[in-house]
Amino acid sequence: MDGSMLGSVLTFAVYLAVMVGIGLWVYRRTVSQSDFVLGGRQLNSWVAGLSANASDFSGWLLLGLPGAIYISGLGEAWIAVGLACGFAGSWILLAPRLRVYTERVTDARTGGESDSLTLSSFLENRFNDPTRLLRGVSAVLIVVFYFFYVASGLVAMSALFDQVFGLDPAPAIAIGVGIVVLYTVLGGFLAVSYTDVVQAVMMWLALLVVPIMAVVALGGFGGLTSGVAEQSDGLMSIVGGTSFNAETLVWESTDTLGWVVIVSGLAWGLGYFGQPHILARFMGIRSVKDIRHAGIVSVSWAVTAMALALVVGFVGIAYFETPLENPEQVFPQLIEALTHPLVAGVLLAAILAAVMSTADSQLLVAASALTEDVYRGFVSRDADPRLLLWISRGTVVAVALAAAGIALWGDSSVMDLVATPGRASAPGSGRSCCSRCSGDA
Amino acid sequence: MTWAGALGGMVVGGATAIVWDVVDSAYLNTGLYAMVPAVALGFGAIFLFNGLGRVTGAMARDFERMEAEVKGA
Repeated sequence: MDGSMLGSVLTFAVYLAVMVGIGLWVYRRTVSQSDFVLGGRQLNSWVAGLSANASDFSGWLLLGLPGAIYISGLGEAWIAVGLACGFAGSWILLAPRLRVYTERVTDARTGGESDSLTLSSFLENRFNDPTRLLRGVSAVLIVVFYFFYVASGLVAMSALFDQVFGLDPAPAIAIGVGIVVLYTVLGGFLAVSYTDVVQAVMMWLALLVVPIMAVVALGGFGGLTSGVAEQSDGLMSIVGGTSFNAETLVWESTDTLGWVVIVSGLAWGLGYFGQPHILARFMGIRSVKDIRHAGIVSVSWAVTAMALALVVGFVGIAYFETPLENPEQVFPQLIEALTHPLVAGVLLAAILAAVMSTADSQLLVAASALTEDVYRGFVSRDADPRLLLWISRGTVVAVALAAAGIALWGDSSVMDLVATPGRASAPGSGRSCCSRCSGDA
Repeated sequence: MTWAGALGGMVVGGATAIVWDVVDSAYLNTGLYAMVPAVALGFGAIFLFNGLGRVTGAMARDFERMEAEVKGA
């Protein structure tokens, strides 16, 4: 094992140990189903804000967005604009309503206090659904989509372990699932949220450090802009007009972006209104009074992180004399080219953090839907709270194992079908939340 | 909105997001991201199915007072 590999192994091991340590730390604070699913609604504004970001941004932020900028330049930034608007809109429109209404609406069947812990139970209670279809169908949709989302995250995790350590998929997924399940089972929502904070900080710092080092190496921003312009003037245009040809390894002129591409990019932001693993942060914040600050933290992080990811893409264009065959590797390639092996290990762990922080939140949401909406909603309504807590922990393990099976042996075309629309579970529930919260249609 | 409108919007929006890429590449060739038709058709379904359920009415928006009431209860 050479020094570089040893450095990466050590930093990954420390990172994973910290994640498990956080799970152990909050284990004693997780004593009820409400604690496991929503952390007893005790998140402060910093944790809620950063956790919403880390849960949302997966490997796309560190690999996909810089890769897209590397290929087509600034024209790809419309997605980032849409995401920033969607994130801000969801904090303003949805967060206060979900925080208050989910605790306040009464049970549709008994008229008693409900304290809805999941989006599905809230929808049933809010709309007094006598058929119970709303809760059942939304829970099934969440479980099905999130099975595949978690599996997609595990595939990405396995690819990273392969790239850094040369590990086969089976042991890579076993390590990834093992760590995520361990801290999620121990501490539930609190563990997932606090690990998210560490992961959000790692992602942001990695996105800050790498471009700074590269810009210094290029001789300042003048060197960066001239290096980009050398490849193609169209790379700095917000309406596109340039695309990287992976076969010839040169940037070629193309048509400028039409309204369909711009609208499609902006539409990514609509997904925020219906992603249960992000909406859970709105429901789990300590008080409605904390939402304004949490929203500022969250949107500031998102905007700066996406701006830095754009810079990473441009830095890659200017820095490498020989263009990359795989543009999505621009961030890892810059890390390897610019940093000491020990630092590189930390920065590569940030990519793992991005993947894990999304997978753990989605895993918890899928398990919560099964326990709270399927088991408690339809099988045993008056189940003992302590029993429910342990069923939730068991469900996390079961969902993770099923997702690992899909990741290892599943049909990739099915995963693509569910995951490619990006936020495919969002339109339905997002629509419902949006209309409901804007005063009812 | 009613439970039927919410359910209709959810199912139609989700289904559109899943099948959009297949339908678009086979018949329409617009290249539009699935979220756009999913949200548009989801909205349409809300209005279409809304009449099947009972309207529950809008909730108040005095969030801090409402939260204080819940915590004081």
